[in-house]
Amino acid sequence: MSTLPNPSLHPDPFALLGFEPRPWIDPNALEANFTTRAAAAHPDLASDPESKACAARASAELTESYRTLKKISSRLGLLAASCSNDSPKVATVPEPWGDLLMRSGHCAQQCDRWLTEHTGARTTLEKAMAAAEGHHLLEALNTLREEIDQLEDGLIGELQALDAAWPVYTPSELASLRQRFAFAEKIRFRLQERFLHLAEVLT
Amino acid sequence: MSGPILGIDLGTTNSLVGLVDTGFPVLIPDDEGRRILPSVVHFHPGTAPTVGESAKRARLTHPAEVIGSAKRLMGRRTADGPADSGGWGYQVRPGPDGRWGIDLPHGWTPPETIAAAILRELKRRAEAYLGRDIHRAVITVPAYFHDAQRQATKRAGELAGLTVERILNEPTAAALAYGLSRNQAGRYAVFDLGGGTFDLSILEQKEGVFRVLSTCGDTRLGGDDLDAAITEELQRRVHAELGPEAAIHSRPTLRQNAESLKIDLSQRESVQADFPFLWQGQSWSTTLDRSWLEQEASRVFANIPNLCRRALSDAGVDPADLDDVLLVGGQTRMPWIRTLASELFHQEPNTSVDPDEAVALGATIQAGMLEGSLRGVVLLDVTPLSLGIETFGGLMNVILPRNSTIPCKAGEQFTSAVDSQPGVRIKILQGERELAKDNWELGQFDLPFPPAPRGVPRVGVQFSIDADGILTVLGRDLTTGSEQTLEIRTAVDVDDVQVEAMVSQSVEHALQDMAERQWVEARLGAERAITMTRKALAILGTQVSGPEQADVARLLNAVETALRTRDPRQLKESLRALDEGTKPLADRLMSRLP
Repeated sequence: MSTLPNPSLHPDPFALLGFEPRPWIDPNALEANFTTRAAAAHPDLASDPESKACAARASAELTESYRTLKKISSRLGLLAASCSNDSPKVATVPEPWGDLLMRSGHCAQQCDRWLTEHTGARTTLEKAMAAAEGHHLLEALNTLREEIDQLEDGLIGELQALDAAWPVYTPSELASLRQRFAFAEKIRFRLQERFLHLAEVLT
Repeated sequence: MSGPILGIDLGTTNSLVGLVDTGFPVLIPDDEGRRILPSVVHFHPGTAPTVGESAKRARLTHPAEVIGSAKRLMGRRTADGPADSGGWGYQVRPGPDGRWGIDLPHGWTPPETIAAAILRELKRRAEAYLGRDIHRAVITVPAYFHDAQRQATKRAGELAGLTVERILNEPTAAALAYGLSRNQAGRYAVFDLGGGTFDLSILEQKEGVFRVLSTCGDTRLGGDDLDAAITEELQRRVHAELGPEAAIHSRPTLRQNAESLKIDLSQRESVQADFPFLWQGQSWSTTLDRSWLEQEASRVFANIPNLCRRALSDAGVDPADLDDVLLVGGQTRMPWIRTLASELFHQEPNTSVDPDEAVALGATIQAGMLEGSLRGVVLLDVTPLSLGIETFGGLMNVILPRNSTIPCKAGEQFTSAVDSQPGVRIKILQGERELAKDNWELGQFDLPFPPAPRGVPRVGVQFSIDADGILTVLGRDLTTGSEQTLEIRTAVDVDDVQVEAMVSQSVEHALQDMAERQWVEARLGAERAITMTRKALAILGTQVSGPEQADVARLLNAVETALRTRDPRQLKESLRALDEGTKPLADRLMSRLP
C-alpha cells in the first residue's frame, strides 16, 4: 500500500490542467480543460515582450502536461513516481501482450519490406502481385487493430477500477497496468503508421 | 514597437494585404481597385523591380527576368532534392551557400529577395492607404512549411522592412476568417489548394478559441502542376503538327495561356485555344476537353486523399463529425476538386468564403488580435511535423510529435559514452519517417560536456517551438544549472568554399557514375520483374494454359539474354515485351482481390 501522491512536484501536470492526481481522467474533460487553459495562457494575449515570453513558457508547460496526461502510460508513470520511491520493475511481459507485440512486430516488418519492394514496381504484373500481397497485409493489420481495441477496452476497465479504489492501490498493480498501456500505445502507433502507408500505396 | 500590423497572404501565385481599420478587417486594393497582386517580379537591369500585373505581362518578352512561383524555392536546399521554376522561363541554380536560387542577369538571387520585392509592394500599398509608415506584419505560410521555410519567410519580411510579428498557417487563417463570420461552435476541415501548395487542417471552434487538431499537406503540390501538365500537352500537340522547333519556341506562349485555359475549363466542357502567329507567322489552334483535364488532375493530385486521411486519423475525427468543409485557394474552384472534397468528407463543401481572399482576411484578423484592436479570439495552432534527433543506428527519435499545440517544449538528457568526452554532436530532424536519413535535417549543434568520467555529465537539452512554429534549442548543465542557447548550424551556414567543392565533386562523380548506375538500376528492376513473374505463375498455377506458359517463358528468356549481353536498349525492349505479355496474368490476379 502507498500514500497519496506528493503534490510538490513542479510543474504538476494534474494541477496545471485542473485535475486531482488520479488514474482516471474523462477524455472530454481533458480536452476541454486544456483548450480553455491554453487559450487563456496564449502569448498573443500578452502585450509587452516580457509577459509574452512568460506566457510562451506557461503555454509550453501546458502543452507538455497535456501530452503527459493524455498518454495513459505516462500519466500512470507520473502517479507512480510521485507516490513511492521504490517503483517495482515488471520483469516479464504478460500474455497476451508478448504474443501481440511479436505478431504486430512481424506484421510491421512485412509491411515495411512490402513497401520498399513494391514502390519500385514497374510492370503491370508486378503491380498486380504487389496489390494482392498488400491487401493481405491490410487485412492482417485490421485484425490486429481489432484485437488491440478489445484489449484496450479491458485496460480502461481496470483503470477505472483502480480509480474507484484510489488512493488505495498496490504499486505492483499500478506498474503492471502502466506497462500494459505502454504496450498498447506502442503497438497501436506501429500499426496505424503502417496502415496509413499501405492504404496510400494501394489506393 | 507599436503601430498598425499588416495581414499578408504571400501566395505562390497571388498575394494580398489587409489591416484592421476602425475595428474592421479590410483588404487593401491598388490604384485600380484590384485587391489581388500577382506574385510576379520583373527585375530590369539597372532599375527598381516591378511587381504584379505589369511584371506578369513582361513574361513573354523577358522570360529570364520575370520571376513567378518563387515561393516554391523558399527555404529549399540543394540537399533536399532538385528544384525547378514551375514552368517559368527563368533559370534555377544552387547558390554559393547550398540553397536553391534564381539566375538573374545581375547575378544569383535567393527566393527571399523575390518575396521581399512582393512584400515591399504590398507595404507601399498599405502605407498609401493609411497615409503613414508601417513596420509590422503577420505573414501566412502553408501549414506544412518546415522550419527553414518559415525562417526564410521571416527573413523576406525583414528584407522588406517589416518586423514579422507572426508566421501564421494559411488554413488556420482561412478558418479564422470563416469562423468569426459564423461565430458558432463546431469542427471543420479546411481544404487549401493554392498555386503551389496543399494543406488540410482540422479545427475546432468554441467560444472564441480556434484550436487546430491536426494538419497535413504537401508544400510542392498545387495548381501550377496542372498548368504545367496543360503546357506539356499543348507542346506535344504543337510538336506533332508544326515540328520540334516550333514546340521549343512556343513553350513560353503555351505556358502563358495554360492557366486561363484551365480556368475556362472550370466553366465549360471544352475550350478552343487559339494561338495567332504562333510559329513563323503560322497560327495554331486546338481544343481541350474537361474530361482530359480531369484525368490529368487525378494523376497530379493523386496524393491528396492520403493526406486528408492522415489529418483525419491524427485528429481522431471521422468525416461525419465535421460540421463543415471549407474550400480555400484558387484551385478549389475546379469542379473536379469540389467533387473530390465532397467524396472525401461525405458532405457538400462550403464555398461561401472567397477562396482567394479568406487567407488574407484571416491574417488581417490575427494582426488585429496582436495589435489589440480585435479581442476575444485566440488561436491554438500546431506544429505540422514531428521534431526529433538522430540516435544510434541512424534512427529518428521523436521528441515533439507532429500536431503538438504550439508553443511547446520537451526536454531530453544526454551523457557521455567515454571518459573525458568533450561533447556530443546532435542532429535535429523534422519529419515522420523512422530512418533519420529519410527525414528533413534541420541542422546540428554541439553539446559540450564538462570533463568527467563517462556517464557522469548530465546535460539537458530543451527543444522549444514558438508560436511561429520556429525552433530554439536551450542546453542546461544539470549539475551546475548553467544555461546556454545552442546555435543550430544548418546546411546554409556551411562554409561556401566547402559547399562549392562538394557540388563540383558530386557533379564530376555523377557524370562518371551515371552510366554504371543506370545499368545497375535497370538490372535490379529486371531481376525483380523476373522473380515476380515466376511467383505469379506459381500462384495462378492451372489458370495459365500451356501455350501461355510457353509464351511467358520465352519473354523471360529474352530478358535474361539481355541481362547477359549488358545491352540497355535490348533490356528495355525485352522488359516492355514482358510487361505487355503478362498483362492477362495481371488481370487474373487483380480479379481475385476483394
